[in-house]
Amino acid sequence: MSKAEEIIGLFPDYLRPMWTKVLRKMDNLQEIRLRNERPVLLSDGKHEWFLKEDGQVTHCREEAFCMGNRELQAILNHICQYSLYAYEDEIRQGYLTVPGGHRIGLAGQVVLEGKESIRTMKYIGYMNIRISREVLGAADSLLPFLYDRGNFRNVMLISPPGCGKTTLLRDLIRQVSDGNRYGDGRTVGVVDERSELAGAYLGRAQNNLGIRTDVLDACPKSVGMLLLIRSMAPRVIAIDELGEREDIQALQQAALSGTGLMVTVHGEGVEDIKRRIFLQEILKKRLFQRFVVLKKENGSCRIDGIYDEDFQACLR
Amino acid sequence: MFKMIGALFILTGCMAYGVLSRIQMQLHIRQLKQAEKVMESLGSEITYGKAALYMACRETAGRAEEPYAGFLQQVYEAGFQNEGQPFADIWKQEFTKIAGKLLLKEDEQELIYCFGACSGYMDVKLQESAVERLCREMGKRSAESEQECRSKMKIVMCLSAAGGMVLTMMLL
Repeated sequence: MSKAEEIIGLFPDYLRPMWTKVLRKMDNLQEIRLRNERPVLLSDGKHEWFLKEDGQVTHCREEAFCMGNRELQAILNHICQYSLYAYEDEIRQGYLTVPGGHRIGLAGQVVLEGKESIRTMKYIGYMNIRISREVLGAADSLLPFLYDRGNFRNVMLISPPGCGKTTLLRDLIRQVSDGNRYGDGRTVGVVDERSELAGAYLGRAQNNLGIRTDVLDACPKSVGMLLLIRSMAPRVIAIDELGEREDIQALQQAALSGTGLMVTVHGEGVEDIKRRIFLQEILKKRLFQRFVVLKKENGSCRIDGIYDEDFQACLR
Repeated sequence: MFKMIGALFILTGCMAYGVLSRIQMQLHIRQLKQAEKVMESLGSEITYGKAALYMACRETAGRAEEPYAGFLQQVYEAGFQNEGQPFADIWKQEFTKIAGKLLLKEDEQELIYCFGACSGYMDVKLQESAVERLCREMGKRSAESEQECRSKMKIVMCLSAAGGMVLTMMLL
């Protein structure tokens, strides 16, 4: 099934003719933004268009098609297979993963349970369909810096949101798992808390993460790392978006057990990372031997610099 | 001699009619009980597995008897093909296909037919209660039918035997 067909499949039958037209024509779309009573926006990462009712695209706002609440409800219901209760946990976290590994961000009115925990989300009026694209070979230029005579070096990928960290990590996992010209294939354990790396749907990975990769889907990172070490004995652990104190503790335990690490973290660069209090402990302990900074320029993501454990540039 | 054989045929025919009516009543009860079981199974898939409706249909199809097994499998497959139809429409469409094979009364069929519309709840308890309601209703109907059947069956057998004898005497 093509990407276009996968995305068309997200819409109920009466909306399909419009989407079929636009999706068959624009095969490089990255995002579709649906907002209640607002124009439908399409983006390929560099440009933005409005969708017209006849399935054509335009830059003219007046011609744009606005999606109503009824349509949004129908789309949500269709995506959730008319079983919203089955997707309660994902809705609570604000996203859904669909066949093909695409992700749908959701926003609406949050219903709280206590003061901080979210019980559910109602009146969902905003959807962001992020079209998943595997970029096979995205990590090619990075690989020579990640191996030392066949031994894997722990790596941290750093970038602001939308610069391709997850895409890069996904390809890195695949190449480390399958093996490459710098090192043999090794078992990789992936803790995919937000189902973004494997894009698992009904427990099955939709993206190619390599032949020696085990995926723990929708599991909190801190719990998942230890669980994988105990149960699957990975040689390398990969996690996306390191962010909490518990993750750091689990990461240290993983490193102590001799497991290699591949992680991503939000940040502007190494200086920004050094300032983060929760990261200082692992930086002091020199758990990582490589820091890779990513940037976005003119809509394209690229590696801005690679640094060693002393934060000396290996490539810039 | 021919009269005797004719009388025997009439008697056997009337008795067979009685037996057939009895079998139909039993089949009706059986189908009601099966429907109840199907709903119980759907309910448990939703409650314990938190399965989406299509997946619950697939799992239940594996445990159910025909014609329900085929019906549920078809619902799952139609959902899996993802032509964009709502669950309620698929359910109704597939149920219409097997309705002719069922011995259920019109109002009993209507209950199952309308179940598809009870979907799309965010709260799992609401979905569970929709299934439970139908399950309870089917249970109630099968208990009533069973009671009714016990008394009816004797009458039907007696009437068919008596009817056969009367007919034989009249013709002789």
